[in-house]
Amino acid sequence: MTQNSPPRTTSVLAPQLGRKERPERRATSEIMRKYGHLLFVLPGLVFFVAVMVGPTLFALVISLTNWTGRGISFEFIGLQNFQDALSYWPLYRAAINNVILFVAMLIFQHTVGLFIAVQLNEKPRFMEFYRAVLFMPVIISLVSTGFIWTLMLSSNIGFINPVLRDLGLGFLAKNWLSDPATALPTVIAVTAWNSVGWAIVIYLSGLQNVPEELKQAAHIDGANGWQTFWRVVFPQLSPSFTALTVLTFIGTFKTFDLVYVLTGPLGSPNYRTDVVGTLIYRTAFGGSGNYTDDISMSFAIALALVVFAFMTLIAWALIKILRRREIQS
Amino acid sequence: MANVTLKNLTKTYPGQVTAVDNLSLEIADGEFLVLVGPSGCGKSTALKMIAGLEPITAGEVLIADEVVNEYASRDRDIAMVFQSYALYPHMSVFDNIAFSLQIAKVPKAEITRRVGEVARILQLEDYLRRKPGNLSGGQRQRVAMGRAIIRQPSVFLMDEPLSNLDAKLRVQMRSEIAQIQRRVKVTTIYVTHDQVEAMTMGDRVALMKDGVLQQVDTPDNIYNRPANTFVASFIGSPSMNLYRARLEGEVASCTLVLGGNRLAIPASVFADRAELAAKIGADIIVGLRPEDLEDAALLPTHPADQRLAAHVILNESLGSDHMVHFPIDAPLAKVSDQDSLDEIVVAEGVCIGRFGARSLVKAGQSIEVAVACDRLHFFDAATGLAI
Amino acid sequence: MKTVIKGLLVGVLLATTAISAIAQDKVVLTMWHNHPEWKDRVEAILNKYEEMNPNIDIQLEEISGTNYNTRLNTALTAGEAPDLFGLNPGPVTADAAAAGYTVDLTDRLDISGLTDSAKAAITLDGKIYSAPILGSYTVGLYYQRKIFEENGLTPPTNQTEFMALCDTLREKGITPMIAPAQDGIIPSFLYAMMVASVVKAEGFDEIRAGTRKFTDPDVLKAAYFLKDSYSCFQEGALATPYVEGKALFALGRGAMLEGGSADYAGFLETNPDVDVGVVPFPAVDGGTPATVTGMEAPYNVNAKSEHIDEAVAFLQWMMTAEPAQMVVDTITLTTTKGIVPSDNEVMKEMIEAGRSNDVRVFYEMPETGAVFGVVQQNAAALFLGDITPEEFAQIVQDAVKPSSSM
Ligand SMILES: Nc1ncnc2c1ncn2[C@@H]1O[C@H](COP(=O)(O)OP(=O)(O)OP(=O)(O)O)[C@@H](O)[C@H]1O
Ligand SMILES: [Mg+2]
Repeated sequence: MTQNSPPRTTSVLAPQLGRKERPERRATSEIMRKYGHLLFVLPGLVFFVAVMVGPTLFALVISLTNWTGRGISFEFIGLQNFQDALSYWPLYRAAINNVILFVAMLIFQHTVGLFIAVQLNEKPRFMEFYRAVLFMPVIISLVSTGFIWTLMLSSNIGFINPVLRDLGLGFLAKNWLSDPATALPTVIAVTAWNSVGWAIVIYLSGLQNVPEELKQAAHIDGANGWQTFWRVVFPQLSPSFTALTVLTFIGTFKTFDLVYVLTGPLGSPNYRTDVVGTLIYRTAFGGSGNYTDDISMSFAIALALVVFAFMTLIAWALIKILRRREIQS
Repeated sequence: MANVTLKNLTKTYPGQVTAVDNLSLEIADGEFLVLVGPSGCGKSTALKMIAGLEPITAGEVLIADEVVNEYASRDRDIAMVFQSYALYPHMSVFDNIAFSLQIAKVPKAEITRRVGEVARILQLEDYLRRKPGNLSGGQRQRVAMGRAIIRQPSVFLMDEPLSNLDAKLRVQMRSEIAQIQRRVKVTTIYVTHDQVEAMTMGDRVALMKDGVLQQVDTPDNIYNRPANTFVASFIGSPSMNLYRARLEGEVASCTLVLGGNRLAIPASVFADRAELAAKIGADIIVGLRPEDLEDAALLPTHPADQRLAAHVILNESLGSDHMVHFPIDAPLAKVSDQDSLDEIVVAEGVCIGRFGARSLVKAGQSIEVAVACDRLHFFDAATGLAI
Repeated sequence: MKTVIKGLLVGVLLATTAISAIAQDKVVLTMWHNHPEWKDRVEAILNKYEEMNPNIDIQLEEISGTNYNTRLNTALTAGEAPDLFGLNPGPVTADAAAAGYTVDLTDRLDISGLTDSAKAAITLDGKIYSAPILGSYTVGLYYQRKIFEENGLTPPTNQTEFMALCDTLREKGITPMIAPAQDGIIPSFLYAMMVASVVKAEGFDEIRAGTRKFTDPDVLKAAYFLKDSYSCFQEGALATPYVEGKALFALGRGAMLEGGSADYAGFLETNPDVDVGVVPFPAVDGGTPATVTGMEAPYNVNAKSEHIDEAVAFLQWMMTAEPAQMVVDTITLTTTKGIVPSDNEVMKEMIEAGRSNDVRVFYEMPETGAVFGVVQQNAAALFLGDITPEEFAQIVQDAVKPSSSM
């Protein structure tokens, strides 16, 4: 043992010397050890920055100018666009329509959507078929959906009114999209038709995660079908409820294509169906007018950013509130 | 309080799966019956039919002498404890236990009183405000029990209520459940595939295989007088050693030919088993419980003609005793579908003996094994039925 | 694996070089146009040019009217606009020129062959940036000859006759007028003609100067007429898209339609047997029936084009007699001097209609540039009674930037 001590001493010292001699390498490997795993996030991060953060920042810069979208001349005008946006009453007119659409869709998704999902969860015959049919509208492009519905609803070439008349329900025939009383409800109905598939799929997946034994336990505890559903099954669906509510919120506030195709650039009749999506589009690119003096890209972007901020806030609050409910269970 | 009677109960699932086949059982009022059997043998299905959760294909279920086939679960006056507990995750422990009373619109004050009482019995008083997600496995198990007993039903149905607990907790809850049952004296049907639970908890044990009832009897009788090779091998740990063998000679001086070994069979054995004498000269299956095999070195007085010569290949010492593995050159009798949680998988043809703590045998040694020949089990070689 | 990728790369390189080699033989001019319904007719003219100039290949892309401005604006900003594109004359063309998107054609293009009004329309402060190669359009009132003949009716000349005619037709179960009002374009033209019937061409200059106003009591009558005319529209007019309305009329589903010379080609595409006549739009009572004329978006040359000379040569040719004749015979009115329709009766009628009281469209003038759009955006409110004609006229007046104050 004593004979071994000199080499042992050097071998003990060696790492210390090494540490002193190559401090940089030590430092980098230290960093790598601590943060090396972040490298794996890099590709995703780069992509995210390139397609999300970059354009958003760019939009933010544009919103600080008075750039119309045509030409290259612009000046920085500070927060003027945002100030104008907040006092721009068409924005509120449009936003109220979004709110109506949201509330209507919310009720629809959580009643009709849930009801259909529950029916499908009973595994009727041809369930796959029903599910496919009900989900189909979701995957059809919104432009086609809107186009098909304008054709069906048209007062002149549509078949819905003639069919109603043939059924002796002529009093129900309406100028669906041009009558101020029915235009927004019609847009809501088409949106509902288009998106009920989401509600069904989301609720169905939630229902399929409810253990059979939970329902059996409730039966044995004396609950009837109604009590079992509302007091035992439905509370288990709160993740679905949250997801669907947030998705519906986002969906109804960023709706554009369907409304644009159904009621045109001016949210006919007289902006009764104008939503923030169509308003922003009109502001950025003009309606279909021959003269486009009133377009302003920078103002449109400011509008979009205001709406975006508002949506982020509400969506965040929704998730926060609804999640709290979930976690408690 | 009620007795439960099953008459030719049968369940056939679509696709011709007969999960329960002609099951007839009588469970007396207040009795604790354990329904045991390997996985997939139809225990849960039988229980669900009694609970009214699964339609009955044929036969009858009687509770308190009344046919309840057409009754909904909630009208059968039963309570059930599920293997998964099936606690309502969004409700507090209090509400979980109180749910059935709330549904029945029992006055609030009474609900509070009864839940308090149950919580006291189950030591759940400190957890009533919690949600099931924040409870330990054992606490959840007790909540599930609480939910069952609060209703003061005529019958308890329990489907593997302990299988999600760790071994230690299982032992503890085993005795708790047995005690609670004794205290409340409610007819209980308890499903398990754990033979220890079956042996320790039940007044009687019903053993099923492939939907067919094999034997119903007290734990002692099931162990000591298994009705067939399946029951014999299912109950007991390690399993009974089963070999094909032959009896030679005559009743007074009978010899069991077990491969190259010969064992003298005392005449008393024939006295207990009337049909055994007729099997002399024929092939039979003989069963040797591990505890009926002992290191001959510890039993110097054991008769020389009741010993096996063996070569030890493995000695698993448990401290209290030794599991000694040694091959016997007789053909092994295979029992299909043998499935026991505590089964020790052994190499084919290897016999296991449970030797006393003082045994000094080591792997590689050649030894003599003393066989308690008066405690052997005999089965028909063709049918596997006990002789 | 690497060799496979290398092989692929080489293959792709070879292929692209080969393609560009073939393409280099010809000068490709890209061209965007906003009337898909004229595609075949425009192609026919382009083919003629390509026959005469085998080294030129003009690639025409049709973009429907509603999307045209949006796409063009975006493409111009992104530097991806075609070599040739149409822009409305007046403020829009001036903006594009100021932004440096287009080539100054003042010294490159000979416009002596154009009519005086066309020359005036494309000249901005003495400069020229575009050529009216597809002529101009005049807007009046189309009517179905058959329906009028069968019912012994004559086209209306004033508001009273027009409203009476509406009632008569309604009684007979005939839709009096097709007006696709979803995007407000047709109501805006209607209002322009109604105003023109009161103020005439001279009065229009006064409006531009700010000495006459849409809210003046006599001009206000135009707003009242516009409001009244709504009752003559087809069912669901406010949700009827432009194309659907034009198709409905072409198919004879209504007796009258506000429409331009440029629409006739589209009617024929929808229904080859269409049998229509055209007259000036009925006057506000006491006024003169009027028409409105505008340029079919004259063509600009992209400042970023690699083939500016070829593009200018093409524009120059388009203003000569042969293509101008094709335009007036198959598409719309030509702006080339001395060219008359050979046998296009509807074009002849349209020229006739334009002789009495024709004014230029609002949007081609800097002072009233915004008026057209404002009428578009507020007509529905007027129709639905959300605003009164007085309020409507005030909103319109507010959009005027009188030249005196400029
Ligand atoms: N819904 C069903 N449809 C078809 N077959 C079923 C259904 N449920 C159970 N089975 C079959 O019936 C048989 C008995 O099932 P059961 O659940 O009663 O077994 P078990 O004895 O409870 O088993 P374990 O100990 O694993 O719980 C199995 O073969 C099973 O596959
Ligand atoms: Mg089971």
